[in-house]
Amino acid sequence: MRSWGLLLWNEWIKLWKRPGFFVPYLLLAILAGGSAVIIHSIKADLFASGFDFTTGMLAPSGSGLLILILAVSSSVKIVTQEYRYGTIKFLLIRSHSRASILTAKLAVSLLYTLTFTLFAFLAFFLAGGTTFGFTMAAGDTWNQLLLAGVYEWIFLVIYVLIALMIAVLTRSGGKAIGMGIFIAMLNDLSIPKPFFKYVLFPNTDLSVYAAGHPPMAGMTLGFSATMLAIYAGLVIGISYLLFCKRDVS
Amino acid sequence: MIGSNQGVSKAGIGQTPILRLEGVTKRIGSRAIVDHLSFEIGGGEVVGLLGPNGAGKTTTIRMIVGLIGMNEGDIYIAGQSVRANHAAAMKCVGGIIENPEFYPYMSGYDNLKQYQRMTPGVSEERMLEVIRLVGLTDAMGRKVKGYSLGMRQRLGIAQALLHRPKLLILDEPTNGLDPAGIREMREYLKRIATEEGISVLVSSHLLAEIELMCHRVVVIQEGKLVTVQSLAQEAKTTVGIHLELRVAAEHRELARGLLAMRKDVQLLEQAEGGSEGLAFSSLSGVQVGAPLFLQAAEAVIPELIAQLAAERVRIHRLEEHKVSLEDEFLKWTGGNRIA
Repeated sequence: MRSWGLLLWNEWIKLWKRPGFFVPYLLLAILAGGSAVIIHSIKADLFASGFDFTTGMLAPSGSGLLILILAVSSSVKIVTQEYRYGTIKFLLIRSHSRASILTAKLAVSLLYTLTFTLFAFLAFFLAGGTTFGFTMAAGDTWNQLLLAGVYEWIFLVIYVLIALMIAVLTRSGGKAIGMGIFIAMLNDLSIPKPFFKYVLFPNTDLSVYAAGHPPMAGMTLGFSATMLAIYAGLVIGISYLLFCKRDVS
Repeated sequence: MIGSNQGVSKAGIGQTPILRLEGVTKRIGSRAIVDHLSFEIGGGEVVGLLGPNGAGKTTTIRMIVGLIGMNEGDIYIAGQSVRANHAAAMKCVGGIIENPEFYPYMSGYDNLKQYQRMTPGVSEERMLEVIRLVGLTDAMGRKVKGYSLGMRQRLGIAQALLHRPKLLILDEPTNGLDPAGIREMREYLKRIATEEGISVLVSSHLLAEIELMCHRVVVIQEGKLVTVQSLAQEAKTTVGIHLELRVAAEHRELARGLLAMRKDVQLLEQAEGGSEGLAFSSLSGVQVGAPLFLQAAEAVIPELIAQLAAERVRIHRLEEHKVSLEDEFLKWTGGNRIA
C-alpha cells in the first residue's frame, strides 16, 4: 500500500512540476471574477445571492462545461505525456504491475479534478459573494451549495475518465482532448425517445434533480447515479484492458 | 578474436543463468517476428545480441522486459518468469530501451527520484552513489531539457542501476553518441560489470563496439538463433597466432616449402579468397605473391622470420591476421545485409 502511495505521489509530482501548472487555476479565477462582474453589471437581479450565483454557475448548464474543458485538457497529459516523452518504457519496466500504475494515474486524475472543483467552488463563491452579497437569500442552504460542488465534480469525473480512456487508446494528447471535449459537447443533446434515458448524456448532470425537474419522465437521482456508475465502470474496465494487455513499441 | 563455439546456447562464466529464454515466440498475424528463440546469460557476463535489421533484436529485448507480450515460451530472470510474475522478475532488471527518455521539465535529480520511489529499499545514499558512478553529480540540479545526449545516456544508466539489478539490458546504448561518448559508454559498462558484478545484455549494430565490450555474442536472424560465439581472448595464446605472410611472387613456393617442413607451424588453407588474397604488383613493378596463412605459437615467430631471411626470401608483409567480428558476422548471417 505504501509503495502504491509513492506511485500516486510520483504522479502528483509530475503534474506539479509541469510548467503551466497554475494556468488552469488562473483561468478559473478569471472566469469566476469576470462572469460575476459582467453578470452583475448587466442584470444584477439574475442571482439572488452569492450562494445562488455559485450554485448556478457550477452546474453544467452554467459554466460547468468550461471547467470541464480545462479539467480534460489538463488531466489527459497524465497518460499521454508518458507516450509523448517515451518515459512509458522506464515506467513499465519497474517492479510494479501495469494495473497498479494505471490505478495511480486514474486516482491522481480524480484528485486533480477535485482540486479544479474545489478551486472553482471557492473562486465562484468569493466572486459571487463580493458582487451579489454573502447573505443567504430565501431558499439558500449550505447543503445545497455543497451538493452543487459534489455534482460538478461527478460531472467532471465521468468525462475525464472517458478522455483518459481515449488517451490510453490513442496515446495522443491532441486526440484525447479533442474527442473528450467533443463527447462532452454532446452532453446537451436530447432525443425524446424512452431509450435515451439509458444513454450517458442526460444522466451526467445530477443538479437537475435538486431543482426538481428531471430531464426525462421516469428518471430519478438514484437511476442517474446507477447509470453513471455503470458507465464509469465500463470506461475504467476498457482502460485497464487496453493498458495492461497492449504491447508497448 | 573469435574463439571456439562454446556449446550451443549455455551460459558462460557463471553457472546459474541470470537470464534464460525458452522457446520464445512472437507472432504478428501469421508472421513470426521471433521464432522459438532460446539462449542463456550467466552471472557477470557481457553478452552482445546481434542481427541484421529486422532480425527481431528489439522485439526480443522488449519481450525480456515485458513491454511486449509473447505468444509462446517464457523468459526467466534470476529464476522468475516474466510472463507469470512480471513484477518479481523486474526487480532484477535495469535497462535502457532504445533512447533514454526523461521528463524534460524536471531536473535530473527529480527524474531519478521518480524511479527511486518506485523501488522499495533504494536509499538516498544509493541514489547519490549511482549519480557519482556515472559522474553526473554537478548536473543533477539542472533540467533534463538542457542535457546532452551523452548526459542523458548516463542518467539512463543511473536509473537502470538504482535498484542493484542482476541484469542490465541496453538496447543500442551507443546510438547517436559521438566517438568520445561511445568510448566513455564502453568504459562505464566495463566498470559497472566489474564493480557491480552484473550481467549485461547489449544490442548494437556497431560490431566493433560489441567486439570490444562482450564476452559472447548471440546472433539472430529472422527471429531465429543463428549462433552463439564466445569472443575469448585466451584462444589466441593457447592455439597460436594467425599470421598472414606476403613474400615476393617468385619466392612464394620456396617460402611455402620451408613453412610446410616445420612441425611447429601450421599452414592454413584460406577458404574464402576475396580480393585481398590475390597477388599484386606495386606501382614500381615489384611482384608480390598471394598471401600465405599460417598459425604459430608466439615463441616460434622470431625463429621463423630468421629462417626465411636466411634463405633470402624477400618478405614484404608479415601481419597478424585478425578475423574481425564483422567478417564473421557477415558469414553467419549470409552477407549482404549489415546489422
